[in-house]
Amino acid sequence: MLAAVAFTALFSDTAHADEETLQVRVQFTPEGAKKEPVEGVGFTITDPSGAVVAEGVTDDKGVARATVPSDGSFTVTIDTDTLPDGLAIPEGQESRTVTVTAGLGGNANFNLGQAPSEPASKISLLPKTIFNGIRFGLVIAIMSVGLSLIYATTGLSNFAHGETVTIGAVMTAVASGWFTISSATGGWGGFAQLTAAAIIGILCATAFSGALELAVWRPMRRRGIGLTSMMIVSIGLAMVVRFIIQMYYGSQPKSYAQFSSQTNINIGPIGVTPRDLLTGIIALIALCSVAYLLMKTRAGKAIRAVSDNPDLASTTGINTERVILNVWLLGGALAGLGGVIYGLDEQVSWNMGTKILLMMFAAITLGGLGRPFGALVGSLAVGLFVQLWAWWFSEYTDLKTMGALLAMILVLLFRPQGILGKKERVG
Amino acid sequence: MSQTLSNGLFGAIGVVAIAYCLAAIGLNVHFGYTGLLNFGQAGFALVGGYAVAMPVMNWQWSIWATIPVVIVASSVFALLLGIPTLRLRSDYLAIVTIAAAEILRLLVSTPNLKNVTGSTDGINSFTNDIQNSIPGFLKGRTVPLWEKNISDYEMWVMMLGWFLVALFSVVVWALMRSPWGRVLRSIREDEDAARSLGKNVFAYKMTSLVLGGVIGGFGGAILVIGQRNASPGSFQTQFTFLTYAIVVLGGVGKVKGPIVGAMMFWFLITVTDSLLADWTDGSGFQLPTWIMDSSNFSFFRWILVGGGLALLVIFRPQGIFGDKKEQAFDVR
Repeated sequence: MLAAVAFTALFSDTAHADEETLQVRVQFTPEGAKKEPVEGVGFTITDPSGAVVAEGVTDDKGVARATVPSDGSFTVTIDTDTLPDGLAIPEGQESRTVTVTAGLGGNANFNLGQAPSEPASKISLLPKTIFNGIRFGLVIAIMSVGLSLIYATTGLSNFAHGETVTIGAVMTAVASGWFTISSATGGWGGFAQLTAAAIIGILCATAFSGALELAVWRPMRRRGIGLTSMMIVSIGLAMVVRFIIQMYYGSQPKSYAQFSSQTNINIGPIGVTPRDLLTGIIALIALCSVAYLLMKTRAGKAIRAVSDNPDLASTTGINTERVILNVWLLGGALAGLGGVIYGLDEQVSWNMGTKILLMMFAAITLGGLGRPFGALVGSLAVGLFVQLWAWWFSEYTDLKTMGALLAMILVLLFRPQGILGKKERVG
Repeated sequence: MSQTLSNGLFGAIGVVAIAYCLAAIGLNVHFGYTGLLNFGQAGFALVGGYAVAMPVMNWQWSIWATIPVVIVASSVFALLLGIPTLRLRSDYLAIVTIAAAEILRLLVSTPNLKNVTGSTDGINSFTNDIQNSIPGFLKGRTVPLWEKNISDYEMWVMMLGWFLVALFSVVVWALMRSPWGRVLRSIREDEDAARSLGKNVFAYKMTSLVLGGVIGGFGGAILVIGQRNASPGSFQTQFTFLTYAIVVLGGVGKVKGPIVGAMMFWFLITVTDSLLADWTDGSGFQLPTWIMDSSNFSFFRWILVGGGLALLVIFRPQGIFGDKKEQAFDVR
């Protein structure tokens, strides 16, 4: 008898030997990502007669342990009012009957899904659509400012610019596993870790861009090889780099290790995750800095002088080659930053840069080839156009990039110099 | 080794090589003779391929009746591309053509049009007329090519394809010797000079775009017939870049350039693929797995193509057999 009491005391921290533990776990699986615990979900446990025997709330691991008076079968019912916004439990799975075994307890697992979006009226989604469009436009803009500056100073349509974007994102994803500042997923620890990795990624993109200028483009310019050849060489180099990335990074898109899904915060009619808001602000700050650099600093004025007329610039004592190298470095850094942000919006994949490259070309063509601020205007136009297309033709969202490309062709038909381009003969 | 070489030989004369050869003949008209930077040859090939597959699948046409459809559809596509861009600087044409090819690929990929285009799976079973037209001396036989056996269907498509290659090569050869071809080349060399002599440069460029586009369309048609499947995956942007590699390899602005280029290109690609597969299959000579393994060796061909294209353009822009005087790069 004594031994029996001691035995139950060892294996049960409850006072009564008949009581059993029922563990409730609530999880949510975002599309293409790992399961995540859901915190703060309330539930009740009823016995077969319908009497409530226990209640509880899940903790930060999505787990709650409830004590039930005996073994047998119990019904666990999720309180749907306590579910976080945007998540829902599939119809008819709110409650589950669990068998609790003596000595072993029982488990009830719930998997949540995305809440079916309410059939919101189109017009109420418009502010959100415009916000997303501007944000997407800003991301394209930081990538394509470099493309546009390179075109303006050297005349080269650099098809390898997409790979600079990919390198920024891929190296960030790789570097995020190299060292540990914080092992946390999400939160400030994850943010610090990802920031450190992003700096490495951006440095790699900058180095790649600068190395190409020093090793390929500068020698080609010195040999007097023309722009068409250089454009085709950039296509060849882009293929080499793209498939090297595919060989060693893999074909599967991945998320950054620190990635976690976030709930929306509401600003007026616009719901936005803190991540999207922060990356949007970072993109905006980066663009403002570039604008300041171009308009106010000596280095920026030199860049504008070279893009206006390289020969004239070099006769006034500007070191043209030095300026062009600066442009490649600046363009590489911005493309890398764009890649890091784009990798947060979508996933990091080996061909992400190639996929966005056409959007970048559409943006700089729309804005006026070779006009740095044209790239900004064109990018915002492309971003808005893509999102508005997805909003208006909600059945045809897979064609949203097609809309932007069509818009580019139409603009060329009626205003070939682009929105901000100088009116000149371009034929 | 003889297995590898016979694979390579088949690669050099097979249906895929023929399709790319036709696309390259068309691109050579654009780029080699007229100096047009067409980056959308994949789009022309896609138009040609779907112009064959869609009428047969959707309206039960005879496949032979789709030949005029290929011509009309690629011509219309060329006009649509040319009107906004041919008056502009050459890089505008490059960006618009690459965008237009991508628009078409997205259009045929969308699930919303699945009953018409078959979405990403594409269209199958439109080749019965070709199957039934196999001549008696081929029917039911396999043709041995060294260690490789070619089925009667493949052999028949190859014969049709090489006939088209010969036909279009002769057409291009004759046209480029004509006064019309000389104007094209003068536009390539100096557009303003041609204009100052009273030539309607826009019209010449447009006819060149249409002619090369139609030839590229037949390339796409042969490709889908050979693969018995028309799907957007065959017409990605890579298609255009491979075609450029073929034109540059064989020699820009030469009639035999695309033929030599396509055969060399697909021989090299097939042999490389075959060797790498052999070196990563876990027996015999093996490459270290940190360089490549059986899961990723197939990407190496693209690295080879990209690197080869870049090196050729830098160090030998006229191609292996090209003529330095005829090279189309940077004449303006």
